[in-house]
Amino acid sequence: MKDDRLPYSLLGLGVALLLWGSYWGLFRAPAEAYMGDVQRIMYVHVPTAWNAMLALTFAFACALLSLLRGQAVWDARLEGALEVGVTLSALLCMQGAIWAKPTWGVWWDWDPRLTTTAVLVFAFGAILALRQFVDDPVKRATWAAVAVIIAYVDVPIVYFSVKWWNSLHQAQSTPETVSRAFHWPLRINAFGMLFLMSGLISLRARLALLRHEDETAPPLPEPALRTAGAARGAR
Amino acid sequence: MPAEAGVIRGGWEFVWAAYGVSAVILTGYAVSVIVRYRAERRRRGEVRP
Repeated sequence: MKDDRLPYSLLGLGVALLLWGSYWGLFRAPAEAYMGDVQRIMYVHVPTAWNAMLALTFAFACALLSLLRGQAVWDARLEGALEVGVTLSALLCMQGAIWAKPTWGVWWDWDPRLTTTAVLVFAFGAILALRQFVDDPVKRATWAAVAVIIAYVDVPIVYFSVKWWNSLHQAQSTPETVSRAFHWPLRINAFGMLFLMSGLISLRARLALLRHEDETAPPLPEPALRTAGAARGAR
Repeated sequence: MPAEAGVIRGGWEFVWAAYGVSAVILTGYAVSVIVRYRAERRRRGEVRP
């Protein structure tokens, strides 16, 4: 079995950075001119968004490699990235709703960014759920990879939706669109979330690989005692 | 101080709610992954209980 120190170290580093970045964002960074203290939600919402997209992009790369190489390890990584990506995307919608209420006056709006993100959660969540219904590991890996490649079309649509359509949601948060006073807590939390996401994907992929080994292992031989007992009964 | 148009005052309860939800979901999910992984390894006899 592989050494587990790397994923646990990534988790620890991620948690430490998230605590530091959140402390900075909550108590040391200045309030924004128009949104006031409510803007502090950005320090957790934007890193969640970036890393949800990254996790699903990694799932897309794993899907391609799973189809091209046919190795179980790429299907296990796909499963890990998919579960983490769906969790972060669902969390992203909840954080967004909490930020929307004081700024837009509503918890939810069928705005292009919000709608395409909801589609993303349901599409990838459905793939994750439907994987459980396919018993054959080879068929499961093939169709899950194809489904992830198709569903991934929504990821660039989510990213560019605020540019392509007239959206209530603000434009993408980049160093050009965010004040320099807000950069550090945003960067620290972004790296914290990146390390946390990497550690979780790694552990979840290892779990998927262990289960795959169990599924494909040859059946165990009958216990010697039972064989001997049956032989005596036949006499 | 009079309230200015288009400026949000207060709202800390929303900030705490967003950070609280994030902490609960990330911690809960991380614990679930670690518990499932350790249980699978224990079942295979790779780690001691």
